[in-house]
Amino acid sequence: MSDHVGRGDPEWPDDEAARRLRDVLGQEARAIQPSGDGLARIREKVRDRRRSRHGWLRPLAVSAAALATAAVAVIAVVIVEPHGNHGKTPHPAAGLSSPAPSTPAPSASAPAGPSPAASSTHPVTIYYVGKLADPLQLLYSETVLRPQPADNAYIGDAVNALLTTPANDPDYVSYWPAGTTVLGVSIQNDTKAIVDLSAGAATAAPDALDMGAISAQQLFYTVHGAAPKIDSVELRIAGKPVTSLWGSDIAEPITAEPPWQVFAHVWITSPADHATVAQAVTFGGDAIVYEGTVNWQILMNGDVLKAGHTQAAEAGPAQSPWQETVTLTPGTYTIRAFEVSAKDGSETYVDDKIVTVK
Amino acid sequence: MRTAGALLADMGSRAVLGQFDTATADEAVTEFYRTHYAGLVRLSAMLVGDTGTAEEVVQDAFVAMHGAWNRLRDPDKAVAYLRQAVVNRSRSTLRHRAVVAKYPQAPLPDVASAESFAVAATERAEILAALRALPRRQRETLVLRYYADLSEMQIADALGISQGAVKSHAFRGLAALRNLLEKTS
Repeated sequence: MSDHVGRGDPEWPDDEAARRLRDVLGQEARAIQPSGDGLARIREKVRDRRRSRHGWLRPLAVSAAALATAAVAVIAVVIVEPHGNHGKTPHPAAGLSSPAPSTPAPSASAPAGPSPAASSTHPVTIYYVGKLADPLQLLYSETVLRPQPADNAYIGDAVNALLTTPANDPDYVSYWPAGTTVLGVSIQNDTKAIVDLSAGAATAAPDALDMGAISAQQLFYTVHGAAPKIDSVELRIAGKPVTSLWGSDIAEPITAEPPWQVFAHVWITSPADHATVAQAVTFGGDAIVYEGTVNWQILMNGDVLKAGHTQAAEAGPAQSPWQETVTLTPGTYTIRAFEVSAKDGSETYVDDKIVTVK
Repeated sequence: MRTAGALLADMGSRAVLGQFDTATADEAVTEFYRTHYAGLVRLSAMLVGDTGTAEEVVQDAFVAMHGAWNRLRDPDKAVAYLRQAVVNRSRSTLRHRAVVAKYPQAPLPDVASAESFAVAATERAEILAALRALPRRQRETLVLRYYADLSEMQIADALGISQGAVKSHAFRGLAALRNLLEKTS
């Protein structure tokens, strides 16, 4: 939300516990993506309500229907979660990979009920390297839903996801060699993760030369995303600590480079690339931009149809969410977002997504 | 758009009532959808535990705001109204579930099983589990404070309690989390 009124309030505790809580809530929230057809649904509901005012029988019928729905929803909750394990986290499947929210199993007639998948999956944020050298290779993120890992092995699961999940957006890539597996993960002093990868990790494809340093950050941020308490990652390959990766020196252990140095400054995290969306298209992501201004364009066949700018909640160097909604007619569009360079007015840190409006 | 857009873009305090006469309820819905919908859905989802329900809750709050627009007009008031409607509706959703499903602590129970793979790796799950285990008011206060960044006064408004109560819920809730973090570290 944009009302950052209270953060500096000295009356409020802002200690370690508060900061961690803020981190965790922020991460959870980031995984929640509204479906995109909300505006259409609201307009529909407003129309229904207007109509119902013109006949007093109508509201009764509506509320009876609503009650029936509510009852179904509650039943769904009970069936889905017999052990009281209600949608274990506030970020179910809806809207992450599929933009349409109302696509649960046909029998689940309650739109409000948590989907069965929601209780057994969790969001994993995977970082990728942008293919465009603009101006450097930088990181982008995509969030995927994965089954809950056994024994709470969140770090191993996230690294596995990184090694085995190609980016949905073709502009993002991971240079970790195909076939690399996680041999083991252990934790030292609560804050250091030791990640041991199979021998294949040592051998880079030719296009990965010079990508060692950014790929180490990719690994670090993916691990940190899964376990926020981790502040360093010791990389081992086939059991041996390494200090260089594919010809680049890497820190040992790997620690965070500041986001403004290693993240692309403008991310579009929703909708997903090649998503199908409703006509009121809400797009957005995170940005680290001067004075918080994110520029965007809507293109069709290379022509700019709409353009504008929007404010991120905070200006850089903090990474901060932004979003915008436009109404489009059916067709295929490219959504571009970028920062205008304060130096020379050029477009930098471009991210784009192709969407089909139905 | 002439509209709500330009006028409401600055949500600041310079609401000149006359100007807002030109912003119709429909325009206000469109504009607030653009600026606040996603944030409110996230807020509600943090309270009710799933996005589908959260979207319903927020859409209904928008419909209510549309109906009340003649009274609201001022964008500051409208945002406060929306937020309060979302919080109230999220809470009654939870209450309803709790009553029917007979889960006294209904909303978002446990995640982590006892055997931890490693303390650090599960911290996120533990913080969330601890949050879920808190009494409802404490949990709501912490979410409104540390996720939504609301001020004490805004939280008091949204929950319909005094500012003093907000403070004490926040302190107790945080103390419980702090305890947990100390135990696990």
